[in-house]
Amino acid sequence: MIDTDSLMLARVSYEIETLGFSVVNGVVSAAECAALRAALLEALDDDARRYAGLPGKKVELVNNLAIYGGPFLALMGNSTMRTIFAHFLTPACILYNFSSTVLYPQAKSDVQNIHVDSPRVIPGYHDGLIMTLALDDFNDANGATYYLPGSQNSATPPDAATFDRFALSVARPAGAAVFFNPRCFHRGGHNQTERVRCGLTVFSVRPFMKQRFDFPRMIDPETAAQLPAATRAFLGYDARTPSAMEEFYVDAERRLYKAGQE
Amino acid sequence: MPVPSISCKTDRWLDEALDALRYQGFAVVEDVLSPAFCDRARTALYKARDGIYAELGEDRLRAAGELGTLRLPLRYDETFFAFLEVPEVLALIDATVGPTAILHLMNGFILPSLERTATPTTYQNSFHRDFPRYMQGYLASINTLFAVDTFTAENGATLAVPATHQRDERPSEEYLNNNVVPVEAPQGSMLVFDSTLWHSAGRNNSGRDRAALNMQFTRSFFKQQIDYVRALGDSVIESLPERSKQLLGWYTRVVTSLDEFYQPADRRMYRGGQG
Repeated sequence: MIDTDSLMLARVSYEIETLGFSVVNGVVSAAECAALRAALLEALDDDARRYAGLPGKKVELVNNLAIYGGPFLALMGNSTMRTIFAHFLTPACILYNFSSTVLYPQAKSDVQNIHVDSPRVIPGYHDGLIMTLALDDFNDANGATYYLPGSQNSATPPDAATFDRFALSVARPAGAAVFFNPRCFHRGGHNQTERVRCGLTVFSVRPFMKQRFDFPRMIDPETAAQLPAATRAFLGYDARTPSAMEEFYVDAERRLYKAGQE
Repeated sequence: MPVPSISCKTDRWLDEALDALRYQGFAVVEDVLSPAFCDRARTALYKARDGIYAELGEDRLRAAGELGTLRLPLRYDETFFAFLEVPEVLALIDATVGPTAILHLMNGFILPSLERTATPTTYQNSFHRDFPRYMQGYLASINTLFAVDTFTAENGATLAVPATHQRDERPSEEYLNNNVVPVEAPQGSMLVFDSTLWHSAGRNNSGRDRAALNMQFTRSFFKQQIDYVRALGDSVIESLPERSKQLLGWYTRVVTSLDEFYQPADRRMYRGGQG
């Protein structure tokens, strides 16, 4: 019998090492996709109401979807995503950032400039991995992202002409995801349709690295208590930093930074 | 193998220390602290020990399997903040983990003298690395260990295994035991080492306590062993020089709300350009 998970992982691993990115179909089901899309549109509205006008707030960007609970927290336990993250970052990997990837029709955005998602160059070592999940079909018309194959090993950005010559548009159906090295140069496309295009981005890092948000302090404790242990671990509950001696000198079970985290 | 030692009074001390750090994994930089400052630091270490015992109780520390380790000494005496301003420390940080580096930990040590057979085996006096991961040669963390008292083989000088840093595999126990050297150093010296170097604490059979202070510095995107900003409080941190604030993690704090996140650049908790 062929182990399809192993074959998938081997292909993804090879493509991320060489190209810097890899597409995986069917990461979430059609029903999950619909639930996530509906929840994302609500979160966009809610976030805009709460934070409109604050420095750095962008209408298309919801930072920290984990606090919106529901299907977003359920996604944190997605087995395909977690398997791929674990392969590159160890099973103890944690969430760094969880945000929207939304393009409104005809909208301009900073992500349409050539960029990387991590400033650090650590040759031969994966300190992070990103998944961008398509909640709509991503295609050239609605702004599928362009990635420059092999650019993850470069410390300096390519010029625009080189990028445009060699970059690939990563079209994919709803429910599919692109996994990519945060150092792979990419830029968003332009949505020339009449419909908002929705996606989600999950950025994972090693457990000893700081998160962009202190998820354990931000997620409602009652909600957190109901989460599966593996989801809590991914959110960073097993890799917290003590802030007092009382928190440091506790038995193994109550440690904020659990043993075996790498 | 001789221990690479350099006086910080020489012109090329930094280059030589960096060379030794690169090839041997460690170096001793002598003459960094004055005898008067060492005396002050020793007094502060005992004060910290008393404070920790009063707060946590000796039993709890013993249960944690620690021997003479004083965590978070910054809470007990302001002398320890001066270690964050030692020019030789800052020069080494700048040349290795960079100017945005942060303090991962600061631990004092009052290593008690015990009969050879009475010294318990602890994590510290077993071979270990302070940064237990290999990042393909990327220098992520360094330690500076100060000899507040002279380090001798008899009083528990740190045992280092030269050139075992930046390796994926743990050397065999036989190799470690056969190649270990006691890092003897005069009072006021600073032992600097790549945190991936295999080493252990020595055992003190001298009849007297031996005092030391260890600081580990990492790139700014790593978690600290203790959240120094929360542990010390905003008002303490804000009263410090800019570089000390940087080292203690003031400019790389992780936000706990979106109101903290959406701030102008000069008020962000995790500032731009920190890596």
